[in-house]
Amino acid sequence: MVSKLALPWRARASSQLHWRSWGDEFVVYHAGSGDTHQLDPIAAELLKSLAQEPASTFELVTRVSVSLELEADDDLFEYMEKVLCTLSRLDLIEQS
Amino acid sequence: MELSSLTQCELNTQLRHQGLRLRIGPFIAQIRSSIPSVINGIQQLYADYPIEQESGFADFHVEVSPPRNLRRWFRPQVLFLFDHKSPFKPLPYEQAFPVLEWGLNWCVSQFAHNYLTLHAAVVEKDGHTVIMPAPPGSGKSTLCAGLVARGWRLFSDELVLFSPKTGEVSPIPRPISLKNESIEVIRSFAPEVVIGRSSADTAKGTVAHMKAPIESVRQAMMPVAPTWVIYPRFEAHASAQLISKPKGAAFMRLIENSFNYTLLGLQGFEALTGLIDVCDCYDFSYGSLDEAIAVFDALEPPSTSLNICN
Amino acid sequence: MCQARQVDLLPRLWYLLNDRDLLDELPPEPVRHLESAHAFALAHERGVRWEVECIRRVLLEIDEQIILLKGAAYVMAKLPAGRGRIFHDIDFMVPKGKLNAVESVFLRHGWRSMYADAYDQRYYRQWMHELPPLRHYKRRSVLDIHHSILPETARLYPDSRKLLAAAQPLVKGGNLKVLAPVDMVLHSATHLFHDGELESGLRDLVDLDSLLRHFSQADSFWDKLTERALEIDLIRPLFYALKYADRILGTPVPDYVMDKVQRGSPNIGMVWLMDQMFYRALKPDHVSCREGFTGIARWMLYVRSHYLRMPFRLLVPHLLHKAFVTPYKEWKLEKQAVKQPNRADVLKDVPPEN
Repeated sequence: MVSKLALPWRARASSQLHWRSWGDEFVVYHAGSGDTHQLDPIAAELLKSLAQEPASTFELVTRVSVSLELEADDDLFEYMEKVLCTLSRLDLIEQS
Repeated sequence: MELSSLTQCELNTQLRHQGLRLRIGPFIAQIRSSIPSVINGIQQLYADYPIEQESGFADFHVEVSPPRNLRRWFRPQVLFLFDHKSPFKPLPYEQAFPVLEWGLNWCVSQFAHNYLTLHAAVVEKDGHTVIMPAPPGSGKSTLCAGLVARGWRLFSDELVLFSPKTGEVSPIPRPISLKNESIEVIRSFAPEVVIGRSSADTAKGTVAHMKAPIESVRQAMMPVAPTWVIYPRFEAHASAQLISKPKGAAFMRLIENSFNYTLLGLQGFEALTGLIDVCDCYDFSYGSLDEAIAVFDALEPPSTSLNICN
Repeated sequence: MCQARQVDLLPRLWYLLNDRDLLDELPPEPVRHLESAHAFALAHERGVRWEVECIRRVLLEIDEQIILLKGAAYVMAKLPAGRGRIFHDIDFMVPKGKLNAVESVFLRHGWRSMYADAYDQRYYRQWMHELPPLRHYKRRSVLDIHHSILPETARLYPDSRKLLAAAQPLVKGGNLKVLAPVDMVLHSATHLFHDGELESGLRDLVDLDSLLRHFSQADSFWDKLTERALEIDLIRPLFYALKYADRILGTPVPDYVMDKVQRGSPNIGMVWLMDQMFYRALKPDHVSCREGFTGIARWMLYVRSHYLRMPFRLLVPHLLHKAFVTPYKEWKLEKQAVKQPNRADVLKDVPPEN
């Protein structure tokens, strides 16, 4: 059985995302559902990254830690799992 | 032609029969009612408003009248009718004038999607506007009434009409709705202002309406670009405090105070982010009207407001 | 304007005027209201598309196909009839044998039955052609799941299997389908002339007009339509539909087609009576259209449609209050990661046991 952590996430309807940011505050409008979300820099980076290319949780931790210059430790991993879960509940991403 | 030039008899006839066509900001409301408190309220608080010919187009056809049921014999009630149908449940008869005011707010919030509409007060001075979104009880209307009594131009105490096309806010000056203690606060703060009859025991407590200054009514067709978004909060005995608010948080709170942001979809998102781009945003707490007005008078417009933001 | 607003036709009016480049010719005041209604219609359409997308995903779980009906079908098939069409529920049809499977998959994914009451449940399941409506607990959207286009007890009983067999997928290999063009017209006709919702009768007639104008561009549409009406026993509603669409909206119906559907006409007395009722009831329910009898005509039609649906002894006042709330939700993510308090921290807050 494949671990859930290895399954790739992808953005749902990535062409329907519209972004705006003020400093480290990000907001995104999802034209499919009509919902607007406020995201922190990590969640924003995750979603933008997935909108370009699907990736597993492991890969995402690496990507985000490089682009935001964060240490890829257990805290980041745990936090990103939580963010992925929230983004999925908000119909922004899905796991294949 | 202004409403005050009608004789009592002409006003009564129009309100009771064909309907009175009042121009309120960008809209024309055709109002019918034979209820004395409504007729008096209109005569007193809308005296300076332009009236239009009865043959032209009206945006909203409204009526305030008692429902035809048996209750009228023991507990009279009043209905707000839009296009001859009632969107609300009947309310006690004494509240007929506030019912007209609430009904007109409802019309704008339901049928004016050419604008992004927000629930907030708007005032203007020297070409700069303050948008004040706030939940009931935060002292928004009191502060708005105080500012207007000290020379700020009234756009509205309840509704922001923001045009996505022009990026400007259109005035819709109407009587300011004052609740409970605010009525006495404003009476003593500015004894010269006209305040209409109080209606007790409404869903919002005691309500009375303050007449909009004549200059605000006369300039009702002059929209202005927004300058500040300020979230006011009244705190007894607190000194006035203006704290910069992060734009993302201000944006999300404006969504909560919007009537049709979700309805407008991407256009709403673009309009509201554009509004936040050009405005400075603050949280503001205050305990005295004089202090609050001094802070507002001293506001510096954002330096970027004239530049194009990227 | 007020009349059009009453029957949700303001957005349709915007499209009609826009197609003919007439919006600029009109005075700006009424145009603002048309634009406002158009904005509303776009939001409605967005809501419908998202809702259908959610439905599609749920259905993947049981690998079942559904046939979207009425408004949702017009919107998803991108038909002119879907432009500016405001409706309250998403209607779809499944084979009768699949009803339970489909209902339970939706119940597992956040939809709840709107009628917990045992009487309502039995009324629907026994006599109606649909399940008690389901409402999503979060988005408040309502699903009407049908297994036929008319109730079991109706006098006309078109064979649902034929409709299902002819349905066409929206996307090749997808699990969403719509009725074949002729069946879509016949369903719309049946809905208008045998259902109880005459409040928006004019709106439904406008649907018919739009469907007919669109589909009749295809070769031999009219022949197929009349043949199908005879085949599935819906010539009577088709007769009414073509007659009133032609008389009231000037829908172009070839003479030979009118002649063909004449066989669906009832006797002369009945024709006169129906004329009296429909001409009045098809006007918007606005005070400027009210004349003598309209209130009664509307009520009689309501009675009539129930009478057609079931044996008379079962006729009980049964009004549905339907409400559609455009999905409206604002979600915020916590700006900062909220660390789960660890067990030791939690225990600190527990008051000491006595």
